[in-house]
Amino acid sequence: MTAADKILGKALAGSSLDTAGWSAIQAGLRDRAFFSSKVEDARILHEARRMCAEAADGKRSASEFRRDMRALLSRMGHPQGDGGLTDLYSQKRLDVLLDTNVRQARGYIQYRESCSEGALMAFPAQELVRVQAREKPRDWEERWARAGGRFHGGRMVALKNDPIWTAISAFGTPWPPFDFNSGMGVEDIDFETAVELGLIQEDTPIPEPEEMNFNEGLEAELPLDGIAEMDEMLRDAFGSQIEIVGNVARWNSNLIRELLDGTRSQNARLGKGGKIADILAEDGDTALADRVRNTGLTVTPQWMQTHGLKHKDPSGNAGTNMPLTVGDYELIPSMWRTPDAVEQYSKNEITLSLDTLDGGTLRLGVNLAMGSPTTFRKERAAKAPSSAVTAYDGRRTFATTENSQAQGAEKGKAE
Amino acid sequence: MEVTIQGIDLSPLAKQLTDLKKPVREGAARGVSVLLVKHFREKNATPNKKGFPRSNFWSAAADSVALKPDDGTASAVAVSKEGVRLRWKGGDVHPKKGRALAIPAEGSVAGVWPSEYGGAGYKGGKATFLAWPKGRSFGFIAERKPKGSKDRTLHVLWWLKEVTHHKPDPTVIPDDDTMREAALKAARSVLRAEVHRAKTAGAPPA
Repeated sequence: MTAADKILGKALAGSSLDTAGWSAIQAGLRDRAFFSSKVEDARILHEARRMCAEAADGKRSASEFRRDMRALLSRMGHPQGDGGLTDLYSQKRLDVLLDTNVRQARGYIQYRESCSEGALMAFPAQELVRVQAREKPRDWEERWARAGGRFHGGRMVALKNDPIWTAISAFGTPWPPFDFNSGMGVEDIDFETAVELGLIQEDTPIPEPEEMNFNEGLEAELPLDGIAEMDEMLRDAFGSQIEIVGNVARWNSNLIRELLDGTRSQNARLGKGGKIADILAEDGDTALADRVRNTGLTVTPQWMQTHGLKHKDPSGNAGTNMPLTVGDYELIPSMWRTPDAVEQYSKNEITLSLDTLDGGTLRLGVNLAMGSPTTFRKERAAKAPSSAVTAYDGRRTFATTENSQAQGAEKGKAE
Repeated sequence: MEVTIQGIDLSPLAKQLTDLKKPVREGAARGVSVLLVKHFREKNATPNKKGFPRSNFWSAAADSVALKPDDGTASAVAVSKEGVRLRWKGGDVHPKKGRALAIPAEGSVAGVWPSEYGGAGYKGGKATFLAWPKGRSFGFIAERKPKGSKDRTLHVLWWLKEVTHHKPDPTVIPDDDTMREAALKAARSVLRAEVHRAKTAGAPPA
């Protein structure tokens, strides 16, 4: 697995939760979700996730990421803020979004490698060290001590399976980064130094890899701690994006992907269309609204795989239809949650629409009597998308708007 | 030459040795990874040569150190951060897109591409002037404050070049002996731990 795979494996989780709200969500669920504080639109998250994965692969610079995210937000009419951390257009916020996701994914990969049998034998411990300078560094010694960490020779060192690593992390993961915009990281400590520092004795058994409480990070199902409180909070924050059965939670976006690639054989239940019912009720169609309010949408593996195979191939698409991508399918839970538009197609069927950022419109037909999808397609928009995105695709032309003394000034391209 | 010890079944020992190969490879590879990460982080601690804000290039190089999948016979450590090989081996850089490379002329635009500067939603400024003298292989992008401003001197933000040349720097990667020693030291630790484990388990040490 690469860092990019780790990012792409995360479920899109749009929510109005702020950073404090997200930090109250169980760490395992957070680690499986791609989110940004107070960003509800799955389309923004979908594009941000793709671009973060490209950056983790070294195929996109931070500057390109910021440029393209701003162009995308602008095209979607997302309001610009005051330039601070709450402003999704600001350099600070975009850098935190990119940096946190890329460093977390890379931290996960390095942590996984550091927990192989041989790596643990040679390097059973690690040290919390500063790896990047910060203007206003946090007091990590205080945080370490407060979380129950012990100092060895004045150093913040502990065995790799020590719970201190998750205890100091704002993300609840034992790998760095341990907080937003943090310049701290870890450095492996070899066996001899671990003995010298008194972390282990010569005859202490090395922690076995299976004892590492290692989170593979990609399983869709996660046992919840404190289910009663979590249940209500999760339903409040995520609605139909999350499915809770018994004391197990699942991101529906992950389930859709697993249905599509055939790794899941059970149905995916996407909950009831409460917000769609609200839209219909606002339009005055109360009878239909009531039907939708009581309808749960269930996607079966059979439908998904038959449908997915047919529509991934462009030749299987009619004239104005565009090929569907995995990312489009991942937007189904979002469409069922907050579509751009709802229409009644027949007595028993409604059509939900969602505009995508590549100039298409997703249309999902839902049979209300069966509670199942009927059709799913992406239509090419009648008019070309706004030029805002294409204008900044790395080939921007710089206009010489001022006359100068420099001879031969011309329009050119630069990057 | 063959040595046969009659009456002693060496097959369990041989199996133990075979089983040991993977952890030894893992340990040795981890030793090299740890050395590389430390080496890149030390490089990251040196100030930017031009006095610009740190780009944390070497820190990102350290983050990109990862093992390649073990093929059962060898382990390999990869550094995937783009630009490390260029700094190590040297070479020429040509633009992938557009016709020129933009080299920041001042710290405020370090890490910012011209296409980001002044793009949608950007709040830092707007480049207003591009010059590329005829027949030359370089140019610049500059900014001038709007009419009515006190200081309207042309302010160069980026130098533009068709190609940049980079000399090799062998110190980018630790030398072979240092890497070999790191791998051997880690492998010895694995063997020692394995011997200890075998002793406590009552089995003959591998």
